[in-house]
Amino acid sequence: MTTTMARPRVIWPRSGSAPIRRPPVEEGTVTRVRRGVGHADAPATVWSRATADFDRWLSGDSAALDELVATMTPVLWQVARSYRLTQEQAEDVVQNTWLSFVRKHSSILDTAAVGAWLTLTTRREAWRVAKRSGRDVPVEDEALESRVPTQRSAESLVVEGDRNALIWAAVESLPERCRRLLRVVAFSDRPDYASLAEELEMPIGSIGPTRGRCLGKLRDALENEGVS
Amino acid sequence: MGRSEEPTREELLGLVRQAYVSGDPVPGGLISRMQAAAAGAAEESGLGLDLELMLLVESSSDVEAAGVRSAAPASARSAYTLRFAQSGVDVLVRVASDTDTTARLDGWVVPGSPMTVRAIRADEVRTPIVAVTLGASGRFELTSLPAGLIRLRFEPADGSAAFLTPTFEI
Repeated sequence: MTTTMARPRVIWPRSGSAPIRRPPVEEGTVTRVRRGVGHADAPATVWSRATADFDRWLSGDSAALDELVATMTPVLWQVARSYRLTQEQAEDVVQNTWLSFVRKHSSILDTAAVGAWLTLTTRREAWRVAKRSGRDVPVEDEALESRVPTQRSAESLVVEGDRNALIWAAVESLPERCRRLLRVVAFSDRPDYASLAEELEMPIGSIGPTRGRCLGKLRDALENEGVS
Repeated sequence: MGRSEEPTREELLGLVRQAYVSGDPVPGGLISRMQAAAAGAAEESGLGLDLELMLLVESSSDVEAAGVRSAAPASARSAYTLRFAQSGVDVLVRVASDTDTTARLDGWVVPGSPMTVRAIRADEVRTPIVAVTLGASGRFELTSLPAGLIRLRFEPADGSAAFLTPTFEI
């Protein structure tokens, strides 16, 4: 099955905590990395921080652009990877989003919408790339309904009892359409259903119910994994 | 979440985030590569440089001779006009009280061209940046601006360098 290679690469953290990576500083590049920005932060924090960064950049603080990029890149990465893109493809998509942002930031009149603008731009670009690669539409739920846990490549790396690993296993056991939908929703600021419906080839009215159904499946899967 | 209670939608979405952030983390170096890309694009567009700072070339009050940084609260003045200029662009701004605590700006950019105009707070007041787009007429208006210190930023739609006025009181 071709989907296997496109599934998220599993790099499992040794401990239960999410890794906070400090990217290597490249020569001649000013890097500002903030404390675990965009990682497991509550999304509301990320959006308001992005707005504050954008506001400061507009006020003439050119370093604030670095901070906006540091705030939002981890989120945009997750959004791009929701579309079964390879790491290289996802990186290109995120980079194109930033280039578009710099060129078109004047069209963002409401600076509170910068996070939504960035995530939507990433989604549209990721979807376009996925389409070109023939990976645009997730296979039907039914086809994957019986997906068995043997596919969980994470499992071999799992430290027994690691809560994060169990959560990962539960999420990964969901049908692909559910994983895409939940991942996009989890990392987007007010995701618009119209584009989601188009991307998932579903009627717009069924996005809400499908999301509810997917969350239900996740709840069950978590229970099966014994996550409490 | 407890075993006995069902996790809420927000808790479940939080778990989804947690799973992917740990399971498919941002590759090392991605953030700095993106920072370099964005900074490069900004420099190309002239955004990496200092903004063009407009000069105040004229100010006049309809009622009293209020300076730009007059200590009198905005509400005590009825209206005044400021003119800024830089690199062949002229901006005329009329500031008038809207209500006791808010002001309105009527502006005119010459030569007019499509651009975004933003009112940026220059004080501690945390209000959203207000923006409008203007067309070839060069006319714009910003209303219900809380009193305080602001600057105006003009971003030409053709991508040329943005202009920023000095701080003034409304």
